[in-house]
Amino acid sequence: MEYYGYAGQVLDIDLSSGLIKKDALDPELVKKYLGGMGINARWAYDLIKPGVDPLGPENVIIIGAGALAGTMTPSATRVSATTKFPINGAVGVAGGCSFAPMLKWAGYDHIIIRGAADKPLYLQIFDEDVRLRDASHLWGKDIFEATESLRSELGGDISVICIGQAGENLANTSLALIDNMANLGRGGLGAVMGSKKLKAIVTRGTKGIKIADIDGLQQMFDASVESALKDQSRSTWINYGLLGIIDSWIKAGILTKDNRSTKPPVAETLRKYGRSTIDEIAETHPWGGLGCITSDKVVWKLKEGRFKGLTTTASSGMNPHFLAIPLGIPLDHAVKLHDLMNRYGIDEIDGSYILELAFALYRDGIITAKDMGMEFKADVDVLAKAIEGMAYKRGFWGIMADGIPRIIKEIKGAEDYVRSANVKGLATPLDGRTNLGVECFCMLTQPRGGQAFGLVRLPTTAVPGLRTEQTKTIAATYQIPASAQARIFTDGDWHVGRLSAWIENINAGYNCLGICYRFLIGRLYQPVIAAAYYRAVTGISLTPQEFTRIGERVWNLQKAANVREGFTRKDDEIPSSWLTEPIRSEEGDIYLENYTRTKRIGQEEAKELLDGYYDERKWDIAKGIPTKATLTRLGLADVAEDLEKRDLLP
Amino acid sequence: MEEKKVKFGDLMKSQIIYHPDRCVGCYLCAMACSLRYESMVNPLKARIKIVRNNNVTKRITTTANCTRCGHCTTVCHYGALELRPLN
Repeated sequence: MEYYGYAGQVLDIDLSSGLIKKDALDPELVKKYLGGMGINARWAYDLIKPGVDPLGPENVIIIGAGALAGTMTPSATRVSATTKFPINGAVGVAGGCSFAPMLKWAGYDHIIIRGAADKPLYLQIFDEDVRLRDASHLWGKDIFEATESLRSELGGDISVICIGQAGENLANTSLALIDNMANLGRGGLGAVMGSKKLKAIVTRGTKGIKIADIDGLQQMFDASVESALKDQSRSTWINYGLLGIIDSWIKAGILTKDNRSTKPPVAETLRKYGRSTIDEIAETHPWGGLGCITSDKVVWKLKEGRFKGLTTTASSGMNPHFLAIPLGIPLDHAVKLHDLMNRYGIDEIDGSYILELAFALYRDGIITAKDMGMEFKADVDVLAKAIEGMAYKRGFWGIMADGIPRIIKEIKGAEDYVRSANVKGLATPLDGRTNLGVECFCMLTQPRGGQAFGLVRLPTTAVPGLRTEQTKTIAATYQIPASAQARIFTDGDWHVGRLSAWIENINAGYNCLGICYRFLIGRLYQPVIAAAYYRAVTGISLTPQEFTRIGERVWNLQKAANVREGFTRKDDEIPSSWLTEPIRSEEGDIYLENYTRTKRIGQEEAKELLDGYYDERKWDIAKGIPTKATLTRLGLADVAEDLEKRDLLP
Repeated sequence: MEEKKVKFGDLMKSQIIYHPDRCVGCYLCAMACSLRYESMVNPLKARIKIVRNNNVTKRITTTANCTRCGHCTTVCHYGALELRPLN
């Protein structure tokens, strides 16, 4: 079949045997799942058998370029990596920026990676030339070193997914970086690659992608650019990335301290960590993935202090703040520690939380200096040693490097301490007590764990303060049907569970197409626009309703895989301490409330939010899982049959 | 930044100025160039070349068959490519 927009081929790699197969992309999969996260989810369901060891050879990694990646569709730059994650045994998708376009230009839409090698390898994909190459000279190198070695050996025009020592040593908090910048796979993708002795995946593509309607694409692109250039936030965004909103995050108290118990004093925190301080200590340079119309990633270069000259990357711009604010360390020291996490390939969110947790456990005598192998304090050299210990899984820090589930299991008394952060074993980047917006709620229902999937375009509910009318506008721009909006918006307020279900579906759709939906980029898209780009690029019919329906299908499929792994409603519940304990602040105690701050959320209200979410999805409310009727309606009758055979359906 | 429309007549009076320090590495210029001249999105075959090192663009160059049509300058919205009138 001749494809436009798609490359039309899938690579199937068996690391155990070394066999490399190239298969044609099945048009039936394209029709039903579009691409990217969608087709990944189908193969994940079919190939990752329930109960397999995430670090065993039977686990599979599926890399998917979004259907529109590499086609000049604005910000269609995303790659999806689906696997079973070792931190919690969930089958889920990790999304990252870039790599996908280059993979498409090389001639491939997806890579299926099976088995495990017996010695370190990297996968090289240069157009038709696909081979597994010896990586013994790269093994043991950090991500930046290994990626630069590959660039020296193979030439500059490559895109690289690479793991560091944390992945090599099978730390469950390890991830990979794309092109030394974009995070990919918190929850242990690094370890899954490490268990397969797969150091890196490298691609260069010169075959290109055909476009069905070139003029149509160019016209839509010009319109998108015109819209992007009119956005008053744009200049801040592309110069500072997500750092551009750090002041509003500090004022909102989104980054807390003392193990998620305290909102730092605003004036002092702004002074130490706000935009003006960033400008004093560092130059920041924007970085955009291949095809990004509004870059929001940042290269930091410190211009003063002990680490003057240090240059590092920040996939979310404000990554160093996840260390600096909770730990109370100087921002430039946090940049240094962030650089180490980058290099070792440790997830920032879990990694920074683990250090914060270690302080709490140490303060209360749950663990001692002897346990930790050091006099633990908020000092950059001490923390650097701790991070190194995590990367190499040494002693106590090896337990910590495996994240919340292992910490709870092996450190007596630790379970009480993680109650404010733990969702399915991942530490949530956001705390609902600050504001229970869509971004926060979606961390509960994300099958992978406490991960930010449900990002809403600006103005976003990740920060407090939107009026309900503004949230209604958001719902309208996401083209949520009127009937659903009537259920979401009632009595002058809105139901975060019901709205989150729709945002998840639509973002899943964007993930299938490889379109980024981060805050500012999200403003350029609605389902009708995404569908229009898809038609122009591929020549394949797609309505906005079909787009959203496919997103819903993919979400249900991903959920079904996790039903097989034993996840139920209890795994989606709000962290218990959010319900009972406030965040302390200079303005008074901050309790869990609804987004509009009109009522407290206690046990009953939390139950009702989750009930509403499941009801909106037409899932079984008691168990929190898809019903046979819903799966069948979505064209997943075979999945329903499989779950029924396993006696897992309600 | 205003949207730029390049008229053919402008070419004789214009030059393309490169500002690699403003380049973010998105390659949209190369994608657009290849789409125009190769009828495919294939940036490594484009007439504009982005040379990156350590996450920053070191230089932007063009191949010998670049006609200075200026299409790339309409696509870059980071200010890295500027169509400037001669004199």
